[in-house]
Amino acid sequence: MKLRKLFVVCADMTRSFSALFRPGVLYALVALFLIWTVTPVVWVGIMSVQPEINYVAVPPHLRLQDVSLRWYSDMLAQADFADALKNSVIIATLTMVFCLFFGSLAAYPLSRLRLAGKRLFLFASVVMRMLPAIVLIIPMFLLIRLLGLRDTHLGLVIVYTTFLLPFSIWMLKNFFDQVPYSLEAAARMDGCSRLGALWRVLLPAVAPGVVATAVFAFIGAWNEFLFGLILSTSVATPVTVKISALVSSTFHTDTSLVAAAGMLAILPVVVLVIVLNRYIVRGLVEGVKY
Amino acid sequence: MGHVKLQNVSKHFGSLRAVSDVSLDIPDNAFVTLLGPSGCGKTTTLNMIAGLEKVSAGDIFLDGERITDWAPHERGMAMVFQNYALYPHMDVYGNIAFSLKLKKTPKKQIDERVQRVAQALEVGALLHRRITQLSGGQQQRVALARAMVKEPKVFLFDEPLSNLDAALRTRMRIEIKKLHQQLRTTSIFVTHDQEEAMILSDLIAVMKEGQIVQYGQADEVYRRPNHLYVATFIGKPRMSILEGRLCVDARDGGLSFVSGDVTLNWPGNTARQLDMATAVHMGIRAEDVRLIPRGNGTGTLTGQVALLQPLGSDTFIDVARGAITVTARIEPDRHVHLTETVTVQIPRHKAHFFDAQTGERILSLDEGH
Amino acid sequence: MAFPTVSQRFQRMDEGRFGLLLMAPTIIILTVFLVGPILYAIWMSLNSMDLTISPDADFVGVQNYVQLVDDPAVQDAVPRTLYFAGLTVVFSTAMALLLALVLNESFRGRKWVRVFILLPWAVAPVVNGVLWRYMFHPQYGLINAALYALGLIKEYRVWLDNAAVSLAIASVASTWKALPFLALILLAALQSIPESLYRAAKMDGAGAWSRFRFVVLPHLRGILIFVVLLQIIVSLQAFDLIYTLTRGGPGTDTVVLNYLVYVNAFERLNLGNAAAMGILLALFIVGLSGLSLAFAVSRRR
Repeated sequence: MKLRKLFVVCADMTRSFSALFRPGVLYALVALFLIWTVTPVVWVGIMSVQPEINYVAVPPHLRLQDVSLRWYSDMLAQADFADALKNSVIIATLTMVFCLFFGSLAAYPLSRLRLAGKRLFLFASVVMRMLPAIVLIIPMFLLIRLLGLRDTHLGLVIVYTTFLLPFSIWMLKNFFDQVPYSLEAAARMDGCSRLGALWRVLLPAVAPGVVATAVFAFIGAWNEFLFGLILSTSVATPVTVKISALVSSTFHTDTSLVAAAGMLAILPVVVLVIVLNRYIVRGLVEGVKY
Repeated sequence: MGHVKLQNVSKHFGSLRAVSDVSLDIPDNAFVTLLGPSGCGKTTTLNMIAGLEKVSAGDIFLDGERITDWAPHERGMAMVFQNYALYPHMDVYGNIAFSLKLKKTPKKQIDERVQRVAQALEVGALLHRRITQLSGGQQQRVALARAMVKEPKVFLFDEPLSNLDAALRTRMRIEIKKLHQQLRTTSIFVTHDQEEAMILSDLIAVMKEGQIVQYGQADEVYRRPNHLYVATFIGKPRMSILEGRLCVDARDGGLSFVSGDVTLNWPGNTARQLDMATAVHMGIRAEDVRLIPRGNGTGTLTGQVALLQPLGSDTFIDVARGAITVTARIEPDRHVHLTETVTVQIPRHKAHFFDAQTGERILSLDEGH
Repeated sequence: MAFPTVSQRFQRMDEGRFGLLLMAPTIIILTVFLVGPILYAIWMSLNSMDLTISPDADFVGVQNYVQLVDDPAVQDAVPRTLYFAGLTVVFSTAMALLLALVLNESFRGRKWVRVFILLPWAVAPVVNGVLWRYMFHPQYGLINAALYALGLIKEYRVWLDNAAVSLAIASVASTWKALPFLALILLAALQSIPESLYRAAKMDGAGAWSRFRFVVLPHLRGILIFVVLLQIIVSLQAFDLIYTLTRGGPGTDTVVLNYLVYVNAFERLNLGNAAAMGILLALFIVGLSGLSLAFAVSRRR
């Protein structure tokens, strides 16, 4: 009995004071959270490499030898889906570029210069983002149609940029705020123009922040659904709209195909998350300050 | 080539007047310090000289030319910042060479000049290190190198030593002083540290709330402060200030200072006539106060030792009498102890008198002597 | 220094005007594509624009807003929304707090765990709906398979035929997606708690649960309220998820308020009504955002 107490006390003493869980409990919870997080994706991933009969069975009869990537290649072979993927890439990339460009141009004065109405702008831009997008669908649709941009990449890029811009500005401004002004002062003394100081000195100094903002803009555009649904018909359809159509299609498509399509739809963002993990976490925590 | 002149320069931010009507003539080759507490407008003035801040009113001249509207890089000036402001994404070489690259200087020349300057500041071995790998002192040298490589007409320093620890500060001070002696480039230095100002400068401009209170040779500002503010700001230990009334004896021209039950009398011929007893602040520096054997004499004060500050080479004692305290410097081998009663003498020609209302000097130091 | 060139004039431009110039493109884009549509939507809400009746707009003032109170579809949607939001808030706040507490401790592989935990945040809400639809699928859902394998059910169930269950599943999906972000901001707040407070508590004899109650919770009060408000806002805005998960069904039983706006606009074609509802919802959300902002700021004290 005494020995056990001693063991507990020793184990307790080597852990930091903020530890609240016993090691066993801790690892169990970690495992549970990992399972919780990964399962939905893994399940659909399994569905995408197995023939439907295998997992329709009660209980599912998954066989390693049936694992195949053919549903992926079949899906990519379908012109409209491959186009949808391409569209998403184009639209998300362009949106990201626009958000970075216009965003840094706007974040710079908001961070550095003394302007009237600064706080008002920031507050308004955050608030406007909170509107249910559905309200704006009809007016936006009319406007885009008026400009002749219906079902075009540019139309969607403009709309997506509009919604993602305030947040990009917000993030970039927060990152800019962390750089002391003397850095640009030094650049101006060295011969940079004010804009030159922005591009050549300030942005490189917040490079991780720029990456974080870029990732947020890209993922935000990639994941957008409603406006893609309404504002595109065939040419500029992004992959999110395509997936939704596939899932709710009344024809019985091979479910494994749909699963593969789903996996393909989230593949780019998953890769981004894994590769740029550090920047995203930093962006989420730091860039979202009030 | 580096004569800077400010003429009635002002800067306001909305209703806040940061700098009011400042006129300054900075001769070529001079080391001039803008001295004052934070918020007094010294950095804003420096920024206006640099062109980083637009003037609200007034003009700035360089070698006779009006540069008020010129962009920073057109002025031929270089600035060294408090937090070094080195570009984090470039290495040391890149930082130093940046201004030359922007001017499209040929690569060979850039290399030559960078190497020369790096050697001079002993950072040659660090040229390809990243900024984050450098210590504070090394970073400050690189910042200096970056300024030097431009071969500017004027060096601007914005409290460059404030971020360094005490030992490093003293060393860098010497470096900067040697640099100035060597290059003789006009230098304008901003600091709140009066010791730094005294050590480094030819001329000191003491600033308060956006205005220049006194501008003159370091020596002069020390010995003949024209305002109470300057008198108490400069000098360590701080000048002793006694509040009281000053009057001139109509019959023999003698000067009397009265505060509480303390009276200091100096005989002599005071030419100035003071109408009635004028409220003044009297100032006296510790090194001018002498310890004398007990007794009465001209300008003597007897009191008790309230504080002892032995500094090794000097000892300072505070002598208190009623509401009055005078700091005196005594020889280190002269031993006094706390609460001992001593007598100190304040020479007439070393005492400073400032109007209690305006703070301005009343009596010239050599008047009535 | 003769007549200044264009770039020189640009340089010497007054700071205020330079700033405005830089912001001009953004202001133009946002005014045309954001403010414009908002104003139009407000105008729409003040008009009777029932396309099934006529293609014209009739100015009716606040009639649309007034009608909302008596609208049976609204009256049905409100409790559903409360239910959905309530479940989401409770579930996500509790899980996020737990996950944050776990991530706050050091253990092997912590870096990798953080990478994987981030995954749901990146998944599109649409795809989120697809994932969970397949998880709970009557024929090949994992939930069915797992419950069957554990012997808890005799045969596969249809889960999405019941409104309460469907909305609960939607809550789960919403929580799944929100967890990474919420856990991260809670974690950031946790890490700002000084170690010395835990130590003091331990000296006073506090066990793990007590330390949680008296050291952790008080510190997290502000940020927890922020999380709750944020999740309410997110729930009110849920659309993509409901669209792919249930399409408002079975029938119209999972039509929550935000989805109702869509129904009114695109299925019932009553644009004025939809706009009014949307704007009311928006005002409510703006109010909540303002509140959550106040709590987000207060946590810094």
